[in-house]
Amino acid sequence: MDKKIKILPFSSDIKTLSINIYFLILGYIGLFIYQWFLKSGCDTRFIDMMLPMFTVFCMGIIILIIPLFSNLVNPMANELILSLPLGGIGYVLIRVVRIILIYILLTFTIYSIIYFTTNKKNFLGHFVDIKLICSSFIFLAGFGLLVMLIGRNPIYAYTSTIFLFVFSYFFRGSGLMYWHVCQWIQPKPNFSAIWKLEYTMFISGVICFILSSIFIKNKNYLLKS
Amino acid sequence: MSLVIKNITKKYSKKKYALNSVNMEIPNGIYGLVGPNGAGKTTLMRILVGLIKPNEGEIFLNNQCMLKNIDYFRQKIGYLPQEFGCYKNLTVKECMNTIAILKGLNNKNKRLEQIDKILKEVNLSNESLKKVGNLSGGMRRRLGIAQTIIGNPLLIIVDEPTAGLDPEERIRFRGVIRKIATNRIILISTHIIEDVKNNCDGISLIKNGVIKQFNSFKEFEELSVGKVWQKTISEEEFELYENKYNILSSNTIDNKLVIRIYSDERISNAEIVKPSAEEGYLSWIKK
Repeated sequence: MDKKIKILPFSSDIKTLSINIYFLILGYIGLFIYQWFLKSGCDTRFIDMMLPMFTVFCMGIIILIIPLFSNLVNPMANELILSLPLGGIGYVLIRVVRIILIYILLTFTIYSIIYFTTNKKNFLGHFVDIKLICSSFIFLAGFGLLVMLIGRNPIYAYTSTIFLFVFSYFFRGSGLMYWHVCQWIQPKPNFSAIWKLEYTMFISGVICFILSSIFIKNKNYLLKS
Repeated sequence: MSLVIKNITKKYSKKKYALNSVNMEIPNGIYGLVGPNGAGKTTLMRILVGLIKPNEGEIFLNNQCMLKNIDYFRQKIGYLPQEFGCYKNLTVKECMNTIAILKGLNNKNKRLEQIDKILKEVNLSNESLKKVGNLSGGMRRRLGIAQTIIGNPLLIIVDEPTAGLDPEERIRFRGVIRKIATNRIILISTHIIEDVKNNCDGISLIKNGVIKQFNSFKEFEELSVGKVWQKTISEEEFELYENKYNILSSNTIDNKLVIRIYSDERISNAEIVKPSAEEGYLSWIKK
């Protein structure tokens, strides 16, 4: 046995996610078809397509990240897993990063289709949106994971992120403005403010992941779930 | 090789001791830890695998202090908890592979070779492509024990391994445990005295966080020799005897009730009998 980083097979992670993957893909396809065929023709078609896509993509990351780690707080499974020598880098970081990267690729593809079919002129905006949504993924995934570990229940992760999302979406709280990265609504987008938000989200997300990795070491607390 | 437990104490509150200065020395072989619910068995096992930290005491495996370097020893310990409900969507082989990676076996070829060998050892080769969630209770227990052997650990800890299994699976499970017991320590926590009698080389009783260690099963059986009495009574008398004595068992033979009683004092018109292992255990926990 050596001290190398333990990299779990990606195929096992995908199988662990099980039905969540299909639900997510079905959701996207349904939404895309609905927006594409049923709400076509008007000037706001681009916004019509981007808003729900943005919403679904942001929430989708939680559906992918939480089940990967829910065994840690499942009383029927956590005793064995917590007795194993789990490393923060292999068990948390690498698994999260590869899921997020694939998810970003998927997001990028679907966003590109929307841009090139509706709003070809504003190509810069495309990258701005993608960059921002990536930071949202990292923050939401980290936040959700940390809440799940603190609350010792995956339900807390889902409800708290949905609450956060709904709150910021409807009330545009200044600190939570990243939900309104749909900057095309504004006549003159302030990009420097957007970058600031992006960095804040990215750093907050990373901090959440580091705290989660530390939390996983607190086995006695997690065993009480 | 030996496992030495020195003065392990675990308190859950100021007055409530889960383990009170536990001392044990366990040699190679299969060792049974027996006790009623809430006696402290699971707490002791969780301390041994590093899930809980004790308030006091030390544990030595092969003369090396485990508590000071628990991350290293986690790779040297195999653990099967009471509940084995993880990785239900993975196949048997994928589940074993995931646990092997987490245990630090990074060389893919060696890892897969070892997994195949272990699955053969526990008679699960034919089920290697089955999903864990689709396995029967007995097969899942065998998979549970298979994952403990990954990495060739020095110490294997098994919590209530045969609970809920039918007699056939229990006997098969005992065979599997015996097969893997060479050159290592296997510590089994159980309620089932028959399992300990048929499988274990040594036994410890635990009650209220205190341990009594026996070097052989015979020594354990002798615990209540001369204290188990048998008497034939009428059914009407049963309630009277139940209130007065510690009744271990009762059977109807030829329309008469035959009861077995644990008592330090002589019981009139009763004959002294050789206690069964289960009676020895019952008399000890009822003390």
